[in-house]
Amino acid sequence: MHFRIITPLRTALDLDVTGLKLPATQGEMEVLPGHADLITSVANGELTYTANGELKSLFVGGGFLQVEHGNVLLVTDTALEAAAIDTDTVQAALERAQKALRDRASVLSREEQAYLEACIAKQLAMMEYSRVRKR
Amino acid sequence: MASLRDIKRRIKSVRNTSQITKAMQMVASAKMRRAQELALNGRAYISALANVFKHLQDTIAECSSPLMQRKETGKLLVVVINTDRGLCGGLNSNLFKEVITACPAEADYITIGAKLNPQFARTGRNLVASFSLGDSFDEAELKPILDFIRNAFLDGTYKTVTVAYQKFINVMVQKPQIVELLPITPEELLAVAAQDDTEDDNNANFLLEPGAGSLLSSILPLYFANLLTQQVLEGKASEQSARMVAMKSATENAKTLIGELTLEYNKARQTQITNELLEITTAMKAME
Repeated sequence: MHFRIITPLRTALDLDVTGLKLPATQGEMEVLPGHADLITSVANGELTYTANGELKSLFVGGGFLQVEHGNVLLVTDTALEAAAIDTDTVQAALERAQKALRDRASVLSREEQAYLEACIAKQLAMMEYSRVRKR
Repeated sequence: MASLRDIKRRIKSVRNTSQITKAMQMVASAKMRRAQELALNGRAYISALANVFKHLQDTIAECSSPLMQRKETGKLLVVVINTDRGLCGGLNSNLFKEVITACPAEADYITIGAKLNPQFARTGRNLVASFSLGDSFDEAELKPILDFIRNAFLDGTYKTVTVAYQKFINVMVQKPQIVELLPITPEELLAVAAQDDTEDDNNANFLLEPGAGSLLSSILPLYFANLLTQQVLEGKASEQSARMVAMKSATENAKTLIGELTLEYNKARQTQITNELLEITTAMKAME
Protein backbone atom coordinates (compact mmCIF):
# COMPACT_ATOMS: atom_id res chain seq x y z
CA MET A 1 0.00 0.00 0.00
CA HIS A 2 1.61 3.21 -1.12
CA PHE A 3 1.41 6.16 1.25
CA ARG A 4 2.21 9.80 0.55
CA ILE A 5 1.95 12.84 2.81
CA ILE A 6 2.09 16.16 1.03
CA THR A 7 2.40 19.47 2.86
CA PRO A 8 2.84 22.93 1.33
CA LEU A 9 6.53 22.87 2.23
CA ARG A 10 7.54 19.37 1.22
CA THR A 11 6.54 15.83 0.44
CA ALA A 12 6.86 14.59 3.99
CA LEU A 13 6.50 10.88 3.28
CA ASP A 14 6.53 8.75 0.17
CA LEU A 15 6.83 5.04 0.89
CA ASP A 16 5.09 1.67 1.10
CA VAL A 17 3.29 0.87 4.33
CA THR A 18 1.38 -2.12 5.66
CA GLY A 19 -1.08 -0.09 7.71
CA LEU A 20 -1.75 3.27 9.24
CA LYS A 21 -3.86 4.83 11.95
CA LEU A 22 -4.91 8.43 11.96
CA PRO A 23 -7.28 10.88 13.63
CA ALA A 24 -10.17 11.53 11.24
CA THR A 25 -12.58 14.26 12.24
CA GLN A 26 -15.16 11.61 13.08
CA GLY A 27 -12.85 9.56 15.26
CA GLU A 28 -9.68 7.56 14.95
CA MET A 29 -9.54 5.25 11.96
CA GLU A 30 -7.23 2.60 10.60
CA VAL A 31 -6.40 1.98 6.95
CA LEU A 32 -5.20 -1.48 5.97
CA PRO A 33 -4.53 -2.90 2.50
CA GLY A 34 -7.76 -3.49 0.59
CA HIS A 35 -9.55 -0.57 2.24
CA ALA A 36 -12.51 0.79 0.30
CA ASP A 37 -11.98 4.01 -1.64
CA LEU A 38 -12.52 6.85 0.73
CA ILE A 39 -12.14 10.56 1.21
CA THR A 40 -12.24 11.96 4.70
CA SER A 41 -11.15 15.04 6.56
CA VAL A 42 -8.41 14.68 9.14
CA ALA A 43 -8.08 16.40 12.51
CA ASN A 44 -4.98 17.43 14.46
CA GLY A 45 -3.31 14.53 16.16
CA GLU A 46 -1.04 11.56 15.99
CA LEU A 47 -0.65 9.43 12.89
CA THR A 48 1.05 6.06 13.16
CA TYR A 49 2.10 3.84 10.28
CA THR A 50 3.91 0.55 9.89
CA ALA A 51 6.65 0.37 7.30
CA ASN A 52 9.12 -2.52 7.04
CA GLY A 53 7.70 -3.98 10.24
CA GLU A 54 8.49 -0.83 12.20
CA LEU A 55 5.86 1.31 13.86
CA LYS A 56 6.48 5.01 13.29
CA SER A 57 4.65 8.09 14.41
CA LEU A 58 4.07 11.63 13.18
CA PHE A 59 2.09 14.65 14.21
CA VAL A 60 -0.34 15.77 11.52
CA GLY A 61 -2.40 18.93 11.31
CA GLY A 62 -5.81 19.12 9.71
CA GLY A 63 -6.25 18.04 6.12
CA PHE A 64 -7.69 15.39 3.88
CA LEU A 65 -7.08 11.71 3.38
CA GLN A 66 -7.78 9.96 0.14
CA VAL A 67 -7.65 6.20 -0.34
CA GLU A 68 -7.78 5.19 -3.96
CA HIS A 69 -7.03 1.65 -5.18
CA GLY A 70 -4.67 1.08 -2.29
CA ASN A 71 -2.91 4.40 -2.83
CA VAL A 72 -3.17 6.54 0.25
CA LEU A 73 -2.70 10.26 -0.07
CA LEU A 74 -2.74 12.63 2.88
CA VAL A 75 -2.88 16.33 2.14
CA THR A 76 -2.19 18.30 5.30
CA ASP A 77 -0.72 21.59 6.41
CA THR A 78 1.65 20.06 8.96
CA ALA A 79 3.47 16.75 9.25
CA LEU A 80 6.25 16.59 11.84
CA GLU A 81 8.17 13.90 13.69
CA ALA A 82 8.37 14.22 17.47
CA ALA A 83 12.03 15.22 17.20
CA ALA A 84 11.20 18.05 14.78
CA ILE A 85 8.74 19.72 17.14
CA ASP A 86 10.30 22.52 19.12
CA THR A 87 8.12 22.87 22.20
CA ASP A 88 9.39 26.38 22.97
CA THR A 89 8.32 27.71 19.58
CA VAL A 90 4.97 25.96 19.86
CA GLN A 91 4.47 27.33 23.36
CA ALA A 92 5.31 30.84 22.16
CA ALA A 93 2.91 30.59 19.23
CA LEU A 94 0.24 29.25 21.55
CA GLU A 95 0.63 32.13 23.97
CA ARG A 96 0.61 34.64 21.12
CA ALA A 97 -2.64 33.27 19.75
CA GLN A 98 -4.27 33.09 23.17
CA LYS A 99 -3.21 36.64 23.93
CA ALA A 100 -4.61 37.90 20.64
CA LEU A 101 -7.87 36.11 21.27
CA ARG A 102 -8.13 37.52 24.79
CA ASP A 103 -7.03 41.11 24.20
CA ARG A 104 -8.70 41.76 20.89
CA ALA A 105 -11.82 39.68 21.38
CA SER A 106 -14.10 42.67 20.83
CA VAL A 107 -12.58 43.77 17.50
CA LEU A 108 -12.08 40.34 15.94
CA SER A 109 -14.46 39.22 13.23
CA ARG A 110 -16.00 35.78 13.52
CA GLU A 111 -13.62 34.36 10.93
CA GLU A 112 -10.55 35.74 12.65
CA GLN A 113 -11.76 34.31 15.90
CA ALA A 114 -12.33 30.92 14.33
CA TYR A 115 -8.89 31.10 12.74
CA LEU A 116 -7.21 31.86 16.07
CA GLU A 117 -9.15 29.12 17.81
CA ALA A 118 -8.07 26.65 15.14
CA CYS A 119 -4.46 27.78 15.66
CA ILE A 120 -4.74 27.26 19.40
CA ALA A 121 -6.30 23.82 18.99
CA LYS A 122 -3.48 22.81 16.70
CA GLN A 123 -0.71 24.09 18.96
CA LEU A 124 -2.32 22.37 21.96
CA ALA A 125 -2.54 19.10 20.07
CA MET A 126 1.10 19.48 19.07
CA MET A 127 2.16 20.11 22.68
CA GLU A 128 0.21 17.10 23.86
CA TYR A 129 1.71 14.91 21.17
CA SER A 130 5.24 15.95 21.90
CA ARG A 131 4.69 15.53 25.65
CA VAL A 132 3.48 11.96 25.24
CA ARG A 133 6.19 11.08 22.72
CA LYS A 134 9.17 12.54 24.45
CA ARG A 135 8.50 10.93 27.77
CA MET B 1 40.08 61.78 -27.94
CA ALA B 2 39.18 61.54 -24.26
CA SER B 3 41.99 62.35 -21.89
CA LEU B 4 43.73 59.66 -19.91
CA ARG B 5 42.23 60.83 -16.68
CA ASP B 6 38.67 60.73 -18.07
CA ILE B 7 39.08 57.16 -19.22
CA LYS B 8 40.56 56.15 -15.91
CA ARG B 9 37.64 57.68 -14.09
CA ARG B 10 35.18 55.83 -16.27
CA ILE B 11 36.92 52.51 -15.74
CA LYS B 12 36.74 53.05 -12.02
CA SER B 13 33.04 53.84 -12.03
CA VAL B 14 32.20 50.87 -14.24
CA ARG B 15 34.20 48.63 -11.94
CA ASN B 16 32.27 49.91 -8.93
CA THR B 17 28.97 49.25 -10.68
CA SER B 18 30.05 45.75 -11.60
CA GLN B 19 30.90 45.05 -7.97
CA ILE B 20 27.41 46.08 -6.94
CA THR B 21 25.70 44.03 -9.62
CA LYS B 22 27.88 41.06 -8.75
CA ALA B 23 26.84 41.32 -5.09
CA MET B 24 23.18 41.61 -6.08
CA GLN B 25 23.54 38.57 -8.28
CA MET B 26 24.87 36.55 -5.36
CA VAL B 27 22.10 37.70 -3.04
CA ALA B 28 19.44 36.95 -5.65
CA SER B 29 20.83 33.50 -6.39
CA ALA B 30 20.80 32.60 -2.70
CA LYS B 31 17.21 33.81 -2.33
CA MET B 32 16.27 32.17 -5.60
CA ARG B 33 17.15 28.71 -4.37
CA ARG B 34 14.82 29.04 -1.39
CA ALA B 35 12.01 30.63 -3.39
CA GLN B 36 12.28 27.98 -6.08
CA GLU B 37 12.09 25.19 -3.56
CA LEU B 38 8.97 26.67 -1.99
CA ALA B 39 7.31 27.18 -5.37
CA LEU B 40 8.03 23.66 -6.61
CA ASN B 41 6.96 21.96 -3.38
CA GLY B 42 3.82 24.05 -3.25
CA ARG B 43 2.88 22.82 -6.71
CA ALA B 44 2.76 19.22 -5.47
CA TYR B 45 0.52 20.29 -2.60
CA ILE B 46 -1.95 22.21 -4.69
CA SER B 47 -2.27 19.46 -7.27
CA ALA B 48 -2.71 16.86 -4.54
CA LEU B 49 -5.47 19.01 -3.10
CA ALA B 50 -7.09 19.34 -6.51
CA ASN B 51 -6.78 15.61 -6.93
CA VAL B 52 -8.82 14.97 -3.78
CA PHE B 53 -11.22 17.64 -4.91
CA LYS B 54 -11.66 16.06 -8.31
CA HIS B 55 -13.30 13.02 -6.77
CA LEU B 56 -15.89 15.20 -5.13
CA GLN B 57 -16.93 16.78 -8.36
CA ASP B 58 -19.97 14.57 -8.90
CA THR B 59 -21.39 15.96 -5.71
CA ILE B 60 -20.29 19.51 -6.44
CA ALA B 61 -23.32 20.27 -8.55
CA GLU B 62 -25.70 19.37 -5.73
CA CYS B 63 -24.17 21.35 -2.92
CA SER B 64 -22.70 24.37 -4.57
CA SER B 65 -20.51 26.42 -2.28
CA PRO B 66 -20.60 30.24 -2.36
CA LEU B 67 -17.00 30.22 -3.58
CA MET B 68 -18.10 28.37 -6.70
CA GLN B 69 -21.17 30.36 -7.59
CA ARG B 70 -21.03 32.33 -10.79
CA LYS B 71 -22.75 35.66 -10.31
CA GLU B 72 -24.56 37.70 -12.92
CA THR B 73 -23.69 41.16 -11.69
CA GLY B 74 -20.63 42.75 -10.21
CA LYS B 75 -17.30 44.06 -11.33
CA LEU B 76 -14.09 42.35 -12.30
CA LEU B 77 -11.18 42.23 -9.88
CA VAL B 78 -7.65 41.63 -11.12
CA VAL B 79 -4.91 40.75 -8.66
CA VAL B 80 -1.53 41.56 -10.14
CA ILE B 81 1.39 39.85 -8.45
CA ASN B 82 4.46 41.92 -9.30
CA THR B 83 7.60 42.78 -7.36
CA ASP B 84 8.45 45.39 -4.76
CA ARG B 85 11.86 46.14 -6.17
CA GLY B 86 13.12 46.68 -9.66
CA LEU B 87 16.29 45.49 -11.35
CA CYS B 88 14.74 42.25 -12.48
CA GLY B 89 14.82 42.65 -16.23
CA GLY B 90 11.58 42.81 -18.15
CA LEU B 91 9.64 40.79 -15.60
CA ASN B 92 7.20 43.48 -14.48
CA SER B 93 6.81 45.24 -17.82
CA ASN B 94 6.06 41.94 -19.57
CA LEU B 95 3.40 41.17 -17.00
CA PHE B 96 1.95 44.65 -17.32
CA LYS B 97 1.73 44.37 -21.11
CA GLU B 98 -0.13 41.10 -20.72
CA VAL B 99 -2.53 42.58 -18.16
CA ILE B 100 -3.26 45.63 -20.30
CA THR B 101 -4.16 43.53 -23.32
CA ALA B 102 -6.12 40.83 -21.48
CA CYS B 103 -8.03 42.77 -18.82
CA PRO B 104 -10.68 45.39 -19.47
CA ALA B 105 -9.94 48.99 -18.47
CA GLU B 106 -13.00 49.28 -16.21
CA ALA B 107 -11.92 46.43 -13.95
CA ASP B 108 -10.65 47.04 -10.42
CA TYR B 109 -7.05 46.17 -9.67
CA ILE B 110 -5.12 45.02 -6.61
CA THR B 111 -1.35 44.80 -6.69
CA ILE B 112 0.84 42.61 -4.53
CA GLY B 113 4.19 44.36 -4.85
CA ALA B 114 4.45 48.07 -5.53
CA LYS B 115 6.57 48.30 -8.65
CA LEU B 116 3.71 48.47 -11.12
CA ASN B 117 1.59 51.01 -9.22
CA PRO B 118 2.82 54.04 -11.24
CA GLN B 119 2.00 52.26 -14.49
CA PHE B 120 -1.55 51.57 -13.34
CA ALA B 121 -1.95 55.18 -12.32
CA ARG B 122 -0.60 56.40 -15.65
CA THR B 123 -2.93 54.26 -17.71
CA GLY B 124 -5.87 55.37 -15.59
CA ARG B 125 -6.76 51.94 -14.23
CA ASN B 126 -8.63 51.78 -10.98
CA LEU B 127 -6.20 50.55 -8.34
CA VAL B 128 -8.19 49.75 -5.19
CA ALA B 129 -5.45 48.34 -2.98
CA SER B 130 -1.76 47.59 -2.99
CA PHE B 131 0.00 45.16 -0.68
CA SER B 132 3.67 44.55 -0.05
CA LEU B 133 5.16 41.27 1.10
CA GLY B 134 8.62 40.72 2.56
CA ASP B 135 11.24 38.73 0.70
CA SER B 136 10.97 35.80 3.06
CA PHE B 137 7.49 34.47 2.58
CA ASP B 138 5.16 34.43 5.57
CA GLU B 139 1.63 33.05 5.34
CA ALA B 140 0.37 35.46 7.99
CA GLU B 141 1.22 38.39 5.72
CA LEU B 142 -1.01 36.98 3.04
CA LYS B 143 -4.02 36.55 5.28
CA PRO B 144 -5.39 40.11 5.09
CA ILE B 145 -5.17 39.94 1.30
CA LEU B 146 -7.02 36.63 1.23
CA ASP B 147 -9.70 37.95 3.55
CA PHE B 148 -10.12 41.08 1.48
CA ILE B 149 -10.54 39.15 -1.75
CA ARG B 150 -12.84 36.53 -0.28
CA ASN B 151 -15.11 39.01 1.43
CA ALA B 152 -15.35 41.25 -1.61
CA PHE B 153 -16.25 38.24 -3.70
CA LEU B 154 -18.77 36.81 -1.26
CA ASP B 155 -20.65 40.07 -0.74
CA GLY B 156 -21.12 40.37 -4.48
CA THR B 157 -18.88 43.37 -5.20
CA TYR B 158 -16.98 41.30 -7.73
CA LYS B 159 -18.27 38.55 -9.95
CA THR B 160 -14.85 37.19 -10.86
CA VAL B 161 -11.40 37.50 -9.39
CA THR B 162 -8.50 37.03 -11.78
CA VAL B 163 -4.86 36.70 -10.88
CA ALA B 164 -1.97 37.80 -13.08
CA TYR B 165 1.43 36.47 -12.09
CA GLN B 166 4.72 35.29 -13.52
CA LYS B 167 4.81 31.51 -13.56
CA PHE B 168 8.21 30.11 -12.80
CA ILE B 169 9.29 27.75 -15.61
CA ASN B 170 13.03 27.75 -15.03
CA VAL B 171 15.77 30.21 -14.17
CA MET B 172 15.84 31.67 -17.66
CA VAL B 173 12.13 31.53 -18.46
CA GLN B 174 9.18 33.03 -16.62
CA LYS B 175 5.79 33.07 -18.23
CA PRO B 176 3.13 35.71 -17.56
CA GLN B 177 -0.13 33.97 -16.63
CA ILE B 178 -3.61 35.30 -16.18
CA VAL B 179 -5.93 32.86 -14.47
CA GLU B 180 -9.31 33.00 -12.81
CA LEU B 181 -9.14 32.49 -9.06
CA LEU B 182 -12.81 32.88 -8.11
CA PRO B 183 -15.31 31.45 -8.68
CA ILE B 184 -13.56 28.09 -8.51
CA THR B 185 -14.61 26.07 -11.52
CA PRO B 186 -14.52 22.28 -11.94
CA GLU B 187 -12.69 22.60 -15.28
CA GLU B 188 -9.86 24.52 -13.71
CA LEU B 189 -9.64 21.95 -10.93
CA LEU B 190 -9.34 19.15 -13.43
CA ALA B 191 -6.53 20.99 -15.18
CA VAL B 192 -4.62 21.38 -11.92
CA ALA B 193 -5.31 17.80 -10.85
CA ALA B 194 -4.04 16.47 -14.18
CA GLN B 195 -0.58 17.71 -13.25
CA ASP B 196 -0.52 15.16 -10.47
CA ASP B 197 0.91 11.88 -11.71
CA THR B 198 -1.58 9.45 -10.19
CA GLU B 199 -3.72 7.50 -12.64
CA ASP B 200 -7.07 8.91 -13.48
CA ASP B 201 -10.23 7.07 -12.56
CA ASN B 202 -13.30 9.18 -12.08
CA ASN B 203 -15.74 6.31 -11.83
CA ALA B 204 -14.47 5.14 -8.48
CA ASN B 205 -17.11 5.24 -5.81
CA PHE B 206 -15.71 6.98 -2.81
CA LEU B 207 -16.97 6.79 0.71
CA LEU B 208 -17.20 10.35 1.89
CA GLU B 209 -16.77 11.18 5.55
CA PRO B 210 -18.29 13.31 7.00
CA GLY B 211 -20.46 13.84 3.90
CA ALA B 212 -19.78 15.67 0.66
CA GLY B 213 -21.22 18.98 1.76
CA SER B 214 -19.03 19.50 4.79
CA LEU B 215 -15.96 18.13 3.02
CA LEU B 216 -16.52 20.58 0.22
CA SER B 217 -17.05 23.50 2.56
CA SER B 218 -13.77 22.84 4.32
CA ILE B 219 -11.70 22.02 1.26
CA LEU B 220 -12.80 24.97 -0.88
CA PRO B 221 -11.46 27.79 1.30
CA LEU B 222 -8.28 25.80 1.77
CA TYR B 223 -7.92 25.36 -1.95
CA PHE B 224 -8.57 29.03 -2.63
CA ALA B 225 -6.04 30.16 -0.01
CA ASN B 226 -3.38 27.79 -1.20
CA LEU B 227 -3.91 28.60 -4.84
CA LEU B 228 -3.22 32.28 -4.25
CA THR B 229 -0.32 31.40 -1.96
CA GLN B 230 1.11 29.24 -4.69
CA GLN B 231 0.80 32.04 -7.23
CA VAL B 232 2.61 34.42 -4.90
CA LEU B 233 5.36 31.85 -4.43
CA GLU B 234 5.68 31.43 -8.19
CA GLY B 235 5.94 35.20 -8.48
CA LYS B 236 8.69 35.30 -5.86
CA ALA B 237 10.66 32.52 -7.52
CA SER B 238 10.32 34.31 -10.87
CA GLU B 239 11.42 37.60 -9.36
CA GLN B 240 14.59 36.21 -7.83
CA SER B 241 15.48 34.23 -10.95
CA ALA B 242 14.89 37.20 -13.22
CA ARG B 243 16.94 39.42 -10.96
CA MET B 244 19.77 36.95 -10.85
CA VAL B 245 19.85 36.65 -14.64
CA ALA B 246 19.59 40.43 -15.10
CA MET B 247 22.41 41.07 -12.64
CA LYS B 248 24.54 38.38 -14.19
CA SER B 249 24.29 39.95 -17.62
CA ALA B 250 24.88 43.39 -16.12
CA THR B 251 28.09 42.12 -14.52
CA GLU B 252 29.18 40.59 -17.81
CA ASN B 253 28.43 43.80 -19.70
CA ALA B 254 30.47 45.75 -17.19
CA LYS B 255 33.37 43.36 -17.74
CA THR B 256 33.33 43.86 -21.53
CA LEU B 257 33.05 47.58 -21.03
CA ILE B 258 36.06 47.57 -18.72
CA GLY B 259 37.98 45.59 -21.36
CA GLU B 260 37.15 48.09 -24.09
CA LEU B 261 37.95 51.07 -21.91
CA THR B 262 41.27 49.55 -20.85
CA LEU B 263 42.19 49.08 -24.49
CA GLU B 264 41.29 52.68 -25.20
CA TYR B 265 43.26 53.80 -22.16
CA ASN B 266 46.36 51.93 -23.30
CA LYS B 267 46.08 53.35 -26.79
CA ALA B 268 45.73 56.86 -25.45
CA ARG B 269 48.72 56.36 -23.20
CA GLN B 270 50.80 55.03 -26.09
CA THR B 271 49.83 58.04 -28.22
CA GLN B 272 50.88 60.33 -25.42
CA ILE B 273 54.27 58.64 -25.09
CA THR B 274 54.79 58.78 -28.86
CA ASN B 275 53.91 62.47 -28.86
CA GLU B 276 56.33 63.21 -26.05
CA LEU B 277 59.14 61.33 -27.84
CA LEU B 278 58.36 63.23 -30.98
CA GLU B 279 58.61 66.53 -29.14
CA ILE B 280 61.94 65.58 -27.55
CA THR B 281 63.50 64.44 -30.82
CA THR B 282 62.21 67.55 -32.61
CA ALA B 283 63.68 69.75 -29.91
CA MET B 284 67.03 67.91 -30.17
CA LYS B 285 67.03 68.23 -33.94
CA ALA B 286 66.36 71.95 -33.63
CA MET B 287 69.31 72.44 -31.26
CA GLU B 288 71.84 70.69 -33.54
